[in-house]
Amino acid sequence: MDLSDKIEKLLTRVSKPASYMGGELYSVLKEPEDVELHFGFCFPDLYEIGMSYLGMQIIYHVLNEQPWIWCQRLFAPGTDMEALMRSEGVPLFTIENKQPAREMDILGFTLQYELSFTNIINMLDLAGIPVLAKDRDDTMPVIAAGGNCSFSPEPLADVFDFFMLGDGEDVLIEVSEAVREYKRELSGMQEPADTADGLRPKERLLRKLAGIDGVYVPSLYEPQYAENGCMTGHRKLWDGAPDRVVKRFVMDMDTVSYPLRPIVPFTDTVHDRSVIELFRGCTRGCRFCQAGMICRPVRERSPEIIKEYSYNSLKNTGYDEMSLLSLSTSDYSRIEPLVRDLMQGCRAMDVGLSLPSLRLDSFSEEILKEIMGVRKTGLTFAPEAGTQRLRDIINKSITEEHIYTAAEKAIRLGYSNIKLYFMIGLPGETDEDLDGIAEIARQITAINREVSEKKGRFNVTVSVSNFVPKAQTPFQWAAQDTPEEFNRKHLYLKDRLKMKNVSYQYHGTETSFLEAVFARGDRRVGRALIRAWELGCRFDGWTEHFDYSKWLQAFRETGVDPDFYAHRGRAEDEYLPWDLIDCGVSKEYMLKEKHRSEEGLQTRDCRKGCTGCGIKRYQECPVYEQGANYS
Amino acid sequence: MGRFLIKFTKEGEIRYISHLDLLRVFQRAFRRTDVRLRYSQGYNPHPKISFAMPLSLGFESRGEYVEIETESGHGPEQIIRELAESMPRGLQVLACSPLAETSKTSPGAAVEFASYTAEYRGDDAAMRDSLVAGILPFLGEKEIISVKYSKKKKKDIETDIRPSIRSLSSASDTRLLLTMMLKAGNVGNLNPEQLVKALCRFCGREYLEYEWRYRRLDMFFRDGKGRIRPLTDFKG
Ligand code: SF4
Repeated sequence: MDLSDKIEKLLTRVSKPASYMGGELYSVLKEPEDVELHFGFCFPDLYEIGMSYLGMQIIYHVLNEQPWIWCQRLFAPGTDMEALMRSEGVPLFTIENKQPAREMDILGFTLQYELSFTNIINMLDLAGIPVLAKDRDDTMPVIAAGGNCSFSPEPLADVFDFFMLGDGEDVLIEVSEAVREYKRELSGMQEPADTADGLRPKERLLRKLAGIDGVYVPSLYEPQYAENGCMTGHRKLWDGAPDRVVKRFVMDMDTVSYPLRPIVPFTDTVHDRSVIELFRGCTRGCRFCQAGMICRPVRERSPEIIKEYSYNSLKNTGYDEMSLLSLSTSDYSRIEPLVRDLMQGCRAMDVGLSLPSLRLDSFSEEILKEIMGVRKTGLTFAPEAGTQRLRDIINKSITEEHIYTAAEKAIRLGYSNIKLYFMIGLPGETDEDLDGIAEIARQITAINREVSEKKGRFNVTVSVSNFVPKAQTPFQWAAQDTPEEFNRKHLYLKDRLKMKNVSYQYHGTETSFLEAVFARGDRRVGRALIRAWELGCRFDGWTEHFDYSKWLQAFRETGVDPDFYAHRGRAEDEYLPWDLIDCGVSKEYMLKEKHRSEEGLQTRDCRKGCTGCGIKRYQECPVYEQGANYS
Repeated sequence: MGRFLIKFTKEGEIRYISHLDLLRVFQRAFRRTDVRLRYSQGYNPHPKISFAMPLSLGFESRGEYVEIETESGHGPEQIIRELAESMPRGLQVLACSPLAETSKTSPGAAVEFASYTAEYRGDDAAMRDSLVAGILPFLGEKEIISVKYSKKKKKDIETDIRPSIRSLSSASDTRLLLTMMLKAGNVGNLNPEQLVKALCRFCGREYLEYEWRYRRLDMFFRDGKGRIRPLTDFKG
């Protein structure tokens, strides 16, 4: 019985069969014999999560544009499907052609969040592929990773053959070419360029990959540790390995390939709509934000291209909703005319336009009314901290005045749902900052009582997450609060927020703790990860699957002390496990930002003048070039 | 400006998408064409699309029907052409015929019978002979009691399914392929799987869900003269 028959037999018995069947509009089929390289794009979470991720659509498109590459998709199966796959002997398979993952030449995982790491291990195991890179021979696919978590790669360094850093569009093709050559060499179609080097083909491949900009091959380095357990450096195992790996940049957003025929899933996914990326990067410099650091510099798409893409993408997909994507929509340089044009276009096509992370102060009253008219999402603000003092420390430029004026505007326009995002456990936080959170919520309800003409329902939701210090940020040296401290703060807040029309949401502290361990881990924490998976952990980001006791057991059994990673402040001169990785923003700059934060000083949004983040060591910075227009 | 009945297939991978998802697929498919659907009035307007009879998840079909109402002045031929380019794999438009603008019965409500095949894909070689031999005596039963769990009543319900079976036969090739015509619609509706289960029990054979593949062939209604005709002939 062939694999697709076997799979079919399972589908009548699982809860979401369509997640495994493929066949969606614009999914790509090719003749296996016609392509030279089989690329398996792996998303280590459920189908409906992965399919909402624009990065997947971009990579799928960029790879499949090449006639010699066939990129197919693989997702983490749901637990019901996994149980059946294991009992019936069905290996992890591609959605498109129902091919075993092992038949791929490259399996490329996207690392979006730490809590998906056990799913990676699980997917490799389901594929029948040894989890550790050192146990895989030439018959196995090459296992690669990209995405945000690659900027702190050490926890997974023993698993992956290589990591790709930064924008994927170009580097993916370059690594695919290298793997194609490796395959030819393996099949004897091609003599290796230099046979005198005495290397196995896989070794030769890894060295070649290490020579590609933006590629980190962990097996070419050996981590060094001091007596006290801190890391002291990476020792090169091959002289040719680069001293530092600098991320890749795609600079021209107008010419880079974009999926105008994205796969349209049949089932309801998390974000079931057409998505147009406005720009990459962010100039604000919030000190806790990893994306804000690792995605620099800001690179915008021109309004003409955005409008053209919007129209084509809607026409091709038939979606009745469109969303704009970036780290901060309002910061797009020509946002007002763009939004006006898009709203007009969407109205003509009977499409709802959603504008996430929009700051109201950047709009005139007139367009605001229009926006409010079509917006489907509620109004949200992210002050992140409860007092101006703490907002200065974290470099969040929003002021209470901003919030109150915008909230007033919104309430006058008939809004009755306001959501506020905060973080607790930030460096320098005191209970007064928690009081500040409650105060902001109280003020907004007061504004509502004052200005609202409607008597009806009004709600302020205060959503509080736990600060996780991230690598490659000015807070990378900080200690995380203990779960006990987080819980105390949550109770404190819960008490203070017992107000009419205010509801309080908060995140589990145990998962935040785990995140902190893996966000700044070294290679040793990988052992605990694998042990936790052996004990049955997967889908750790899903409350119904998360099992903290198993994690504690895994740490215990592998001798990994999670507190060492989560709760220990790092010395400024300590070698950090990710120091080998250069995200474009320099370590000196982050240190400078750390010091400014300690002095309670804000650093300006660099559109108002360059603040010297270090990008210009590698690239012309478009923000810097335009600087004169702003300052 | 018109009402149409579209006949289409649901084959291959797409057989695993639910009724609700299928509705969305059609809505989007129309949005990709120039054919504009008419919308219902009211607070939450939705396009006028309705399927004749739901198909069980995992069943394939060569005879699905959807009724639509359009705003734009496209004729049946144009609708077929536009949709052909816009549909995902596995959904193929077979026919499109106009319905009377004002009619009381919807095609879905008119359906009285549906024909199906059930294909055995397991590897028990004796299964074919056993079931084929069983068909005639099975149909000769006065009563065929089938037990089915009712979610609504939260208990097993016994029904006599014999009156719902109009025909049952096996194609005489090497595979085990049962062909049947069963009552469908509001009264006496019989799912082919329920019948195959009953046949297996009658023949003392084990029924394993994943060994069978079902396919709907067509739907039928009774015309004014009492004749049974395929739903494509329905004019409203
Ligand atoms: S180089 Fe200067 S202008 Fe460019 S992103 Fe860095 S700080 Fe901003």
